[in-house]
Amino acid sequence: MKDLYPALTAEGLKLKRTLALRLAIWCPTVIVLLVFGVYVGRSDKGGSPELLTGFAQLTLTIWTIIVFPLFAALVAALIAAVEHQNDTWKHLLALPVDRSTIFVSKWIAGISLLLFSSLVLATGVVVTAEALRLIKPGWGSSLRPSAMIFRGVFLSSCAAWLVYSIQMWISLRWRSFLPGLVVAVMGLALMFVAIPRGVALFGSLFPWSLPAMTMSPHNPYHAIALGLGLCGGVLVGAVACWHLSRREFC
Amino acid sequence: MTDSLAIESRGLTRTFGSCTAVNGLELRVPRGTIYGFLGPNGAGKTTTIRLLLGLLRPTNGTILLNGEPLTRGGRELMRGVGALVETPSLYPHLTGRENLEVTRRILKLSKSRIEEVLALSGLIADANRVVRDYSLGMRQRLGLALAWLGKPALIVLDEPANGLDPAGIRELRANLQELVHDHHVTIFLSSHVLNEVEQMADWIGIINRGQLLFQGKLEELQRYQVPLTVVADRGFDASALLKAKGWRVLKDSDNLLEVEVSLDADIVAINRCLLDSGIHVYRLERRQEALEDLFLRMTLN
Repeated sequence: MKDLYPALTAEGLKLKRTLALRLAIWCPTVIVLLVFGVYVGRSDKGGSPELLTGFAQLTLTIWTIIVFPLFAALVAALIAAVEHQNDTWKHLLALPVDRSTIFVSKWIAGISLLLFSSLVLATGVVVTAEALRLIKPGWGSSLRPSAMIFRGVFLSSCAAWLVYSIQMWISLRWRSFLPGLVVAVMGLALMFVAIPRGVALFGSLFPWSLPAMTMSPHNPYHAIALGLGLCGGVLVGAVACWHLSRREFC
Repeated sequence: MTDSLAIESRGLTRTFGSCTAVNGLELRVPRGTIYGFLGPNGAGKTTTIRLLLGLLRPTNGTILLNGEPLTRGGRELMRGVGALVETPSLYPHLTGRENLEVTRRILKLSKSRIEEVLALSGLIADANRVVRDYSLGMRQRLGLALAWLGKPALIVLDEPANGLDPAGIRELRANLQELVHDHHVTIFLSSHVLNEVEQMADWIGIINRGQLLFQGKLEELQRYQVPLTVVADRGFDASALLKAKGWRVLKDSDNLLEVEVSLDADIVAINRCLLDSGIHVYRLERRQEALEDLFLRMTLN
């Protein structure tokens, strides 16, 4: 692992001009702007002190429940595609660097993109909430403190590590987008079935629902969901790196 | 012997299910040479190269690179090896310079190395263009620059002339010869462009169906079973004389003989033997068989 930092900086350079990097900016920005547009168009004459909170909650809910699990799958697929598409494995894996270092650096590059997109989202929510406050002065200032938003988004992106690690493993293992896409869609579909059915523990600890479970500090499974997302992500990531570094790429 | 070899394989075998792609390969690639690895499609060239680079694991046998055994954990050994396998491994969304920078960072080299290899490959003017806009020849040159970036003692090239026009092939040849002569690099190149190998390589290995059919200097290959044509005034006497002296006469008719020889010294000895016996020799000729003919003869047999 002594070569991890150079390998990481190389991964960073590879992300330049990629769709993955553009999506990390555009995905959260579009979600924020969509919800902002909906709230700007609302005609709450009297105003409500809860509206700004509602704006933040709706944005974060759409992000953590629907967009983020798909985004994690997309990031994993796009990072893997950088090597798969041009068969650069044969160059990369012939270099005098331990193979696990290469896969760990890819895993960290993806995690960094997830954290970066979360940062963009949280910043977007705080900035647009300020804009809404100016546009709709009657809505008051009851928005949760910015620090709470950043904290919630950060924790939910940490809880997404498990989903990301699963998707990364699949994306690196198979050249085709299809297996990763099928798993992502199935995961989301199961989440929408599992959560409303009220099997609380299972629904809360299902990997695709972990980001949403960590958004609210009042959720009884908040700590377990966060721990599972983080530790499970690291564990699955480690097993994936071990497995991939032993595979033959030909 | 091992110290003088850049690549040595012992009983190298690789199977894919019931198919044996490489079978008991005993490669001996001397340092400081260009070794042409020839074989028809599906002969096992690319599998051999992937085994040499550790991309595939051998089913049996061992590989020594620059005298050190290649093992799964011993990646440091690959610091002495650069490679270009089939199409160049490039990131099309990055510029030529950025592609080199990715590998430079991993190899922890100085930034000046990028300028050096760009100069060698003649890509300085195009270094800041994204690779997706490069021509095939430029990509091939960048691939070679990438292989040379870490200043390896051994460069492994798989079909490096693929897709290059004649000018590009000539340039590639010049670049490789410069690396061998000026930097004492060993080059192991696989190809089916026989004419190219003939002009570049000084050592040849011929593989077919996973087995090495020939390995040696180019001259040895060119001499391989090419008979000496002797035109003398008393053909049958000359034939009897040479047979009596232990040479194998393949054909004799009137005044034309074909004699199997292996060394140039044999030709001198035959000439002297005939002249000493009062036989007039009009012509001694050893036809240079084209490598392509030899290659086809060997692989078809």
